[in-house]
Amino acid sequence: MKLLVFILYTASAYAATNATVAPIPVPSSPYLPRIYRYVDILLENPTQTTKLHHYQNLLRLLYTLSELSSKPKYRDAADVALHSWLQQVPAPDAQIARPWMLWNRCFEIAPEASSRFALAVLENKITNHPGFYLRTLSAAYAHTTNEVFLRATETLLKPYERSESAPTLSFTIDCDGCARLLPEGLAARLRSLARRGDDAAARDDPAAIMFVSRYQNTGNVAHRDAVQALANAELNSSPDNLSALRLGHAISLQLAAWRSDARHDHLKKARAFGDFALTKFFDGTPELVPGIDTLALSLVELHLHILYITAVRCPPNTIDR
Amino acid sequence: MLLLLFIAACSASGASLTNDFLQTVRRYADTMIEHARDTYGPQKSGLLLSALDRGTLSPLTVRPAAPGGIRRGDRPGRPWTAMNGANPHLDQNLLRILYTLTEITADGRYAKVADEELTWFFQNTMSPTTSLLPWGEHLSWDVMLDIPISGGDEMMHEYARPWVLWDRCFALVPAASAKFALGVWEHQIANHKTGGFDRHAPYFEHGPVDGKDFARHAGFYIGTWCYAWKCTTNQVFLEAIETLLARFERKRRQKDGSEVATIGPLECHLAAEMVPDPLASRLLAFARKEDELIVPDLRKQLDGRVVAPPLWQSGYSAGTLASSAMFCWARYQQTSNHVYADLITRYADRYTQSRPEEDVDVWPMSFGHVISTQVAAYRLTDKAGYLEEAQRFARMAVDVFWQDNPLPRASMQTGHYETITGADSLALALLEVHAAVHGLTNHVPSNTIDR
Repeated sequence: MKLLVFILYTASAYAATNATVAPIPVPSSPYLPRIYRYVDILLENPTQTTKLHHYQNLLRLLYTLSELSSKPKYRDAADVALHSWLQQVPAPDAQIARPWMLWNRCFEIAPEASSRFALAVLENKITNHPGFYLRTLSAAYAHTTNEVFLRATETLLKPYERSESAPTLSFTIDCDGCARLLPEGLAARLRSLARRGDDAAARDDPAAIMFVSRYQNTGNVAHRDAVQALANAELNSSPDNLSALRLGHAISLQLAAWRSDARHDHLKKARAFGDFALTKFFDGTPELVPGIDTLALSLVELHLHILYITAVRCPPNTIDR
Repeated sequence: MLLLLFIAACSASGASLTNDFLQTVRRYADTMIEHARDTYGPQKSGLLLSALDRGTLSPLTVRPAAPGGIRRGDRPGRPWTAMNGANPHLDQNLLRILYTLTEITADGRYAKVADEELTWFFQNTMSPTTSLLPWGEHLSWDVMLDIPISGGDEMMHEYARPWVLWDRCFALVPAASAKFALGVWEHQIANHKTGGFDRHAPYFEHGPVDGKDFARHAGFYIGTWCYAWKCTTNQVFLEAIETLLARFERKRRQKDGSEVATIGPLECHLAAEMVPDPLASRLLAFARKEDELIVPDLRKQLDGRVVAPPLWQSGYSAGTLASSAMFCWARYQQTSNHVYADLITRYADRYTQSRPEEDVDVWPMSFGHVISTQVAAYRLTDKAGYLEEAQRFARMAVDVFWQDNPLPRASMQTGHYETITGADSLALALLEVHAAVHGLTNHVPSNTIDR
């Protein structure tokens, strides 16, 4: 024992002049190379690339891959898909599944087409997904300052403000996000709606990923506790029956919990989910299947977390709502 | 009578809010003193850890997720393992807060802890070969292993920002302070004729190179040597200042004849107040020229003629608009130049009713600078609206970063404590708000060193 103490002491004293601590190996992360392979093959396949605009998280991922790799081909493919998307305005009875989060890029590369699209959405009054509608109107206002979008936003909000029911957590996210794009009067009304939505969130049964979004934008400890509780509940769960979408959410939820409480269990579980995902969804011929974009995004998020890369920021995996 | 009651109610309400800010900062300091001092390993140094687990209020057993924009090699801990570094450079505003708390509360415990940190660090961690310290951008002191460590692969000394506690350091540990200042000249500056240097210099052994001589680092060195000259009158420090000044007098002029800002005016002006003429006059002239070159660019940013920094998102070597305001505030305090006063109020106005953009991993430092910008605008104009905005941002920051914990978290998307993102700068801003609301005459240090 005395010998051990002596050795440790000597090592410490010596270390004051020399780096004597053995380096720790870089953790392995197989995820990003597999995503590159998947995307590279996918982009070579015209039957797949014509569908890209239906996979919004893949488009967001493509922009991220260009940042990570400095290769413009990913961004270029996403831009082509955005142009395609802007040509097809959803019909009034279209079933929209997600808000559209790529408006900034749309207005950047195709301002006129984006404005036309937003006006057509306004005309069609696509309200099965109020968040989609609100995001479109507020982004269009932010980029054009056309007051027609403000008036439409006011009209959209009134029934929610009159209603005794609080907005869903999904719409709450959109209200709070869009408030940052609009003039203060309207922004305050949106924030007020968002507060009602937050207060009522416990009564809903929202997807865990929505709590992640709210927590990351508010710091509200109730949302943090929800994220951690939901992540803890999945620590011992099996991924066997999870769809690509649910698996992507499960990975991103564990990563959100890891960021929040620094418990290594969460990062470990995210890796376990990620390893399973590679085997089940990325071993065969790359193709676009429902939810694969969300899963791919979560795997890149996982890679960045494992290697502590922050110069490139991964888009939040919270738009499936 | 009713009016008096109303005023009393308003005062009481205001007092409770602002007292909260002092309480928040004091609780932060108390918790750091109780839970975050080095009592580990063979040497119980008493140094404050630069990162902590907020859940357990104890050292981290992992390397936690990184706040957005923070590079791996800059964090206070060895790569890929538990983060247990103490880096006074990153904690500098916390140390300034401790001194200020002693002034405000008359509790000497706070200043004592800061004194102990500076004393132990300077006396025990200095490289015996280079006299450089394990602090700054990449290095720290591992409180478990009791050795200097790097967040990256190499033991490279680099300032993270200016060190502004030299007066205190020379009072506490004069010989060690002078030795470090000399170490910067001898082991950071590669060419003593041209002043060629690299912002990176090996900590363990002599090996400076003439490489990436980022101009702001020349300012940091000058800001060190001027105190060393003041406290020792060793001529070598005047020679060191003159050499770097001459280097950037030359480098200011581009090949096409145009001129660009280099070191910036702050440390040159600071040094001019300590060194004799003719060097002092040269430094002042240099600083004035830097003003001429910098101000038009700042105006262009505010006018939208060039891309301005983001309002809220910080990253490596990428500050926010409010961090530019902090530069202006520092320079205004040196010169009372109304040009800078005008810029500060314009920056403050840009943040009116602002909130962080969606999904941005905001740092506490960003909030701290926004708050300090509003306080600065209030002090310049005496307009209550600025102080109200400062309070609004301060309340938001306390909710977002402190939450239900005595320590602030590292960013909006992480949960641990880590000062690299400016938790200490935010706390300093809260003290500024407290002082402004209560009209305190205590000196609260300017929140202008994150640059």
